[in-house]
Amino acid sequence: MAVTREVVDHIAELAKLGLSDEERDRVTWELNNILAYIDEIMAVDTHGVEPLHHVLDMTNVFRDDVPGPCLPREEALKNAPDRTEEYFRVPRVIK
Amino acid sequence: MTLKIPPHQHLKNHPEELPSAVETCLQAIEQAKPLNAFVHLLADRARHKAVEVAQATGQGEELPLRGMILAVKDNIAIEGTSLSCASRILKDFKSLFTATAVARLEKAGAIIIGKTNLDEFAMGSSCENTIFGPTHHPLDWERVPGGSSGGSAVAVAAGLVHAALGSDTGGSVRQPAAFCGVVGLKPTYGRVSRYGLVAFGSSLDQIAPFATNCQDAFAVLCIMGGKDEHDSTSAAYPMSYPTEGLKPLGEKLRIGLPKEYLEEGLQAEIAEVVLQVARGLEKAGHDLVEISLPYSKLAVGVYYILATAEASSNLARYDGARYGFREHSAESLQDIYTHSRAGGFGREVRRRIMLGTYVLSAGYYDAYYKKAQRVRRLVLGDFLDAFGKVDVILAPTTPTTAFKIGEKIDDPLAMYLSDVYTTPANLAGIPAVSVPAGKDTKRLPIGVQIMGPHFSDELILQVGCDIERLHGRI
Repeated sequence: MAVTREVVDHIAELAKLGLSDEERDRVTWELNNILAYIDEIMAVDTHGVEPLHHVLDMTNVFRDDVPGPCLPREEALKNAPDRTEEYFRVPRVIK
Repeated sequence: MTLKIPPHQHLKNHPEELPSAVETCLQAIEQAKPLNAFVHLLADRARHKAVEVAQATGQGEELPLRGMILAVKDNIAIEGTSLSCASRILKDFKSLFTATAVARLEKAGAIIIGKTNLDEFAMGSSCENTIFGPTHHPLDWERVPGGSSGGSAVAVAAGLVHAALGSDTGGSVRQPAAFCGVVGLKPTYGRVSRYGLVAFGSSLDQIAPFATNCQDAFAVLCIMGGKDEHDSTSAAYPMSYPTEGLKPLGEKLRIGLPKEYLEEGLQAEIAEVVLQVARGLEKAGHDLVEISLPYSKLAVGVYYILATAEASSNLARYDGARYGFREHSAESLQDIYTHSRAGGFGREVRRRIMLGTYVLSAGYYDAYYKKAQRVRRLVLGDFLDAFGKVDVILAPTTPTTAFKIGEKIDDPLAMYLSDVYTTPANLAGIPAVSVPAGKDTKRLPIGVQIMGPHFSDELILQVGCDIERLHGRI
């Protein structure tokens, strides 16, 4: 399952990472290297073995749907890279 | 290892000395600045807290950790202070709330002195992948302290604090603990709330303590652990800190030695120390049993599929829109995403996001991600079988002692393999502690690892205490 440069371009788009051409080439090489190591896992017989999602014996953890205090708007906007009085600001999306 | 501040037991009985101990601590940190262990000091906050704790004791309040000064890895939230994760993307971020673990420690009288260096978003094994520059090994400045929680390990090893918090996703506390010659405990998954720990691999992450001895690690664990309504994966397992602390082992144990952990790839001096410890424990009356954990050799591969998959999802929130670094030259929202993320994340983080996105992408999900989850169950199954025959498992923590700065930074796979003995415990969710037990010919510390069944954190620390007694502290 060799990773091609085209696959890397696709993955970078999915991950929203604007990588340079040089880094895409390097990552292609690195991913193939890492996946070659990981390939020994593919050879393991896992017939009848259920995927393990969570190590402890717990399934859904429910709580009562009771409203609690939430972050005040001014707090939530404190770390914003750009904002208006009340909102996060980003470039216009619908032109 | 010389403690540069008064012992916490002394400060517990002399709380009036706490404010001056905080000043001593800040001076010691200043003198040790070239180590680059701390990235942000909480000086005024600590001073204020010291006065508060000193006065509160006058009113007879119960403060089990009174006198303990701690450092906290800069991926654990403390309200109003830095939470950089050693990343450009969070460089100027200020946390809006405090992690449950930290809040509980402070409520018990502990004082947090500052935030420590790490590999960006806890991704790394050397504390080199950081916007703050590498942290140095306290015994040999040309070497790494291990990672990702390298700053916290060094803060304890250099005697600057009594204990410290790190996070352990694949060995990020035990590996630097072994490299630096301190105790590092990865608790059972779910034992400590992850609320306020910046998410990396959510099914693996645990906040984890460093200390100079198992007794102190136990105190920190007991106080910060337990169910938390803010983390639904925290376990409803009863947790209390007994006033007498960690009791000595009262029973004879069956101690497993996994043969796969002592084979090729392990530095000979480390193998020798593990066997020395095993013989010492046998002399003390315990039984040694050879066991087999055949799937552990696949753990690093399974780990790097699952941890990167979870990371690629967890790190999707850093989009330059609501907080964190934004590439302001970007003209569209799409460009803000792609340019802020490319410019905000460092090379190793970008690499792991790429790998994680790949193993989760259409066509590869079943082949890699699902497959790795199945093999994860086999890794856990090995341990469950073993714990039918033995009470605890003794193993090396790391394949080598501390390596040189720069030695592995351009070879990701070699770096990943420094976690070969630590990732199995994360995959299985079991507790594991690294305890210093010797030195190699270069006088670099060697750690041994004790692993136990789920929720046997106390038991493995008791074994750790025995090892400390057998070998004397470094």
